[in-house]
Amino acid sequence: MQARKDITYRWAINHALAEEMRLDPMVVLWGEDIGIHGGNFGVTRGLVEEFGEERVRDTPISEIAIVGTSVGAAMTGLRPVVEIMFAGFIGCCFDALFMKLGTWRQVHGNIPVPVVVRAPMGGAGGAGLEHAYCPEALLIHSPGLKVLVPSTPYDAKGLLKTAIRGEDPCVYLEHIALYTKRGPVGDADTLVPFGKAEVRREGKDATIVTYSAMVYKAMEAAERLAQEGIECEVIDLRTLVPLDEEAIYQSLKKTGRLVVVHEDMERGGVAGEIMAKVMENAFDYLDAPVKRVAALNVPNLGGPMESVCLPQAENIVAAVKSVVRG
Amino acid sequence: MEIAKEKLLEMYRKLLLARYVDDKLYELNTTGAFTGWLHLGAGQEAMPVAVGSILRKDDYVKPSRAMHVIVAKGAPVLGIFAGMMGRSEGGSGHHGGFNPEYGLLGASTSLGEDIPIYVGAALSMKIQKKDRVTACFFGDGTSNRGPVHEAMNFAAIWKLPIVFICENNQYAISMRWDRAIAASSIADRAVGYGMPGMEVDGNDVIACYEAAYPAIERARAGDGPSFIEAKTYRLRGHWEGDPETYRSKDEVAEARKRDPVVGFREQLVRMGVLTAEEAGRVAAETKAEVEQAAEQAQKLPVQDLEAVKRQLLGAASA
Repeated sequence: MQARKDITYRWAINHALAEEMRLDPMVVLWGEDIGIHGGNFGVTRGLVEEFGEERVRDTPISEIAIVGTSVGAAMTGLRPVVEIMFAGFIGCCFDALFMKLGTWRQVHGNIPVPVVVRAPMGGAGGAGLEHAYCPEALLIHSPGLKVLVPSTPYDAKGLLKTAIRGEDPCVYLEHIALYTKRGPVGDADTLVPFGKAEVRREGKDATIVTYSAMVYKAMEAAERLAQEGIECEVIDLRTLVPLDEEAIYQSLKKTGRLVVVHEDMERGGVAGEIMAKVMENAFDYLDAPVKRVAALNVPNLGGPMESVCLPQAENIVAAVKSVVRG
Repeated sequence: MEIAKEKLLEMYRKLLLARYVDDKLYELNTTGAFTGWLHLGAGQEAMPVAVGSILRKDDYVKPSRAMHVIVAKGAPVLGIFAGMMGRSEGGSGHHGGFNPEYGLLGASTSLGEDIPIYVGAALSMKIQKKDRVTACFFGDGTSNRGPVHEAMNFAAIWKLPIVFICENNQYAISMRWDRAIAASSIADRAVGYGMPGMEVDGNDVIACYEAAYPAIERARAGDGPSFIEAKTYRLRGHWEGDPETYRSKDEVAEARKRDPVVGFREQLVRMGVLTAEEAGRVAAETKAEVEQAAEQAQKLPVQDLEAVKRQLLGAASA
């Protein structure tokens, strides 16, 4: 990879869209306010000017139709990248996303359904509720959907490009709190493969498995723990489906201790699935019971309550200490 | 409008084919040749037959209940039977008869959720500058669902090449349409979307043809969507075994007098398109064709379920 200047996570997404649209005229975008307004978070800024209204389509407020039409359009030749303004609006298009987009290829004649649904998620600035919802547990529980959770500009760009060029429906969860994060990105040909986790920090005492914005909280916790002599390995999953199980097991071989961290609610969350996999396939590597750190099993009320509802670095620090010291 | 004699005869044959496929599916289901819920559509054939006789093979079509429009569009009847009976040569995947070669992109049992998919196909054709039309059938019950509203609005604002056809068969299971809708016409909703709308006698093949033809032409010319409400009647229960507590036997008997199969035959004989004797011969030939397809389907090897499982799991881990 040649060195490039740092750009924001937001622009990394924008560049991935623009580059793929230049490459393939079948890549078409639709969603609410993505045209002249440039997207609710400015992610699609400049695209309607370059590619025109035929390929960058503003839609009415109609999440069902946004996702539902993408399925039929993809089956008939397009590569739609559609936007749901907030991942919390996924409830508005539940059937389209879970019963249609994910399953249609397998139910109906194996016709590829190359769709990317972009959905901004997560807590940022105390918006709360539907504006801060984390939907990944629902998504991984649904057959047929790839689930992408980039934490860096590099992954945001590379994973989106892989998704657009693929044959299967992907839900691409961009974390709202990360839009302004800066970092290097790959060039127009750099793809990030699905199902390959990244070790963000090496350590020998405990493994923290996480993704999306919680990667930064986990890194903060790891720095604090290092001052107390506990060295954490931080694994960023990057994609939840497919899941890089092997990366987790390899790390556990070394550390013997596991904490899984996510911003989504604890009950029925991704962590439970990962812990079950570890029990089934890597039990012998464990030297201590596994722990998870996740949101309280309550709605994220937002405002000052956001930091109460969502996991913080100190929660991760405490969890790691408990698995290391018992 | 003038409809060529060949087209009238084609529609008569397809009308019979649709009815006999319906009858045969009933027989196969009740004698245990296949299991599962069966939603038949006797009495509602006129509009699907008309539309299936206007569309090109490469146009897209979404059926409402029953197989009528699939049959009328020319998809092989063998595929329908094979699919329903879980034979290896089934139409596609697990949905019998949904052969993508004939523009069938699947259908949803959560009603109306498939309509955005077909509107997506119409959008795709417009963006790719292809002149394929989409015809989207649904029932009076489905017309009340949210996705129908969102999808029809998309089609209207983007002037998509699609025709929405509501087969108003009077009942959504037990709920009669006028208990579910306060307006006197479902077609009137077209005004709210800014597209042309009309009501037509959904048991009259010629009236259906005359309503659908300009709507399909309009879509193909790039002038946007239309909405047609075909007033018809579901002669059978919602599913086979439906106790039909919601309507009287007299009401159904009255509706049977307007059976489109009988009505169209009489009309064609009156018009001198064919004699009663010729009509009988077409009926016998069509029935034999259906019997033969069903028999052939039953002889096909049963789907290898392990192979299907491997395919599903392969796709899941890809």
